Amino acid sequence: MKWFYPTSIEEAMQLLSQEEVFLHGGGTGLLRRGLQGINGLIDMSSLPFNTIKREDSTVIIGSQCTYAQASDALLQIDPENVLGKALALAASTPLRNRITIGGSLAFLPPWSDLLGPLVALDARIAVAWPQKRTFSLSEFISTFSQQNKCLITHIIVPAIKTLNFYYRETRVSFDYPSFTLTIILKISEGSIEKARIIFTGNKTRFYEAKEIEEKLLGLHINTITPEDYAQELPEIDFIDKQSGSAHYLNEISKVWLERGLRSLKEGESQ
Amino acid sequence: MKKFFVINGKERELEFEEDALLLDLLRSSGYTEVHCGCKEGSCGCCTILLDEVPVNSCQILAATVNNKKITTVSGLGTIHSPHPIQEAFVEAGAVQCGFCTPGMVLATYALLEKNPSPSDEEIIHALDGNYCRCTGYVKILKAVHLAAKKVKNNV
Repeated sequence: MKWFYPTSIEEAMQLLSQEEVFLHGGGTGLLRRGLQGINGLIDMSSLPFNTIKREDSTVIIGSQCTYAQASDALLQIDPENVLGKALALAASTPLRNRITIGGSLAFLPPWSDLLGPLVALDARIAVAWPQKRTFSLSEFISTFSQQNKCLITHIIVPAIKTLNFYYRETRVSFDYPSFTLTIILKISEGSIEKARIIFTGNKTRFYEAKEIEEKLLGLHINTITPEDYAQELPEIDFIDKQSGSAHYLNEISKVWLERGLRSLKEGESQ
Repeated sequence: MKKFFVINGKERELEFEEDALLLDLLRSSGYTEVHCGCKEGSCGCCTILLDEVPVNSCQILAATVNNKKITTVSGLGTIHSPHPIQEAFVEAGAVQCGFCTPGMVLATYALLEKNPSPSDEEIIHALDGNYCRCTGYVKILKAVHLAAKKVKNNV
């Protein structure tokens, strides 16, 4: 196995076109995968992907930024930022200091704390190779799998003020979550203008509760009935896990959807 | 492959395999205070500071440590001249078998550098990657509070 230390995007792209040469971000995903079958590793630490900047109404986060850096920066901009809150809960302090945004997207494990908030916020992923363009999360998932290689340069996260709720279903805090739930509500004069309810940890990576989102639109936050929406949540395609069967996870999802909506309702009316 | 490392303030050239973990390299190079626990990034026994930031050395390939400063617990203090955090851990009775202690001390150091007066909640969050199977954590919390006082008085 050979190491490469490119200092420019062009150099990295040239290296990536070689067979069995992979990118190394923070390394945690790579070590979990194992290094077998890898001929070369590209160390990304000298590439210009480690900045976080605010641009108009978005935050641009470089793919080499760690969860800790991204979380700190986002919570400094807005202490209620849902992505900032989610990343602060992921893994543990030493791992948050190592897991990178790009690496996490490249592997995108089912327990990722990154996915739900990114989908809910309509974030975009900027890729420089094999094609230079930005992707929505759905497009990114369908275009790239773990086997494919892509050079992620940054993510673009809308910096919108929302009421939000993030929950990760774990037995103890360090567990990988069985599922995560992200709820964001954009409120204007008490009325719900936009609602996103995203579950992750299912077979298709994420599930959006569109029917419930539509029902919430236009309602005054004080009038919503969380218990009714929770009961209307359709069956999510979870698989049986050590932490619980698909049926159990579906039941718990309902509980947390109700609790999430209730906490947003009560928080807003206080 | 060979690379230069700055470990506890001293530059050293070390030779290692391309796929070597930083944990294994440090231990085989004499830094046995970096303990090997789970090798999965869960327990925090192998915590070191990489440019002042706590990381699991078992989750780092040695080849990626480019010009970064490595600090092990020996870089903070010695038995003859302990760091105030080390003193606090002993005085609070937060050390039993001692296996997790190097990681705990380094995680505490990183926390106090950022936040000199942490709350219980902030300590729990900062030390969430360090397991202790002896103390039940109560005395570790006390030790971190005591360390915060000692570090402040030391400045």
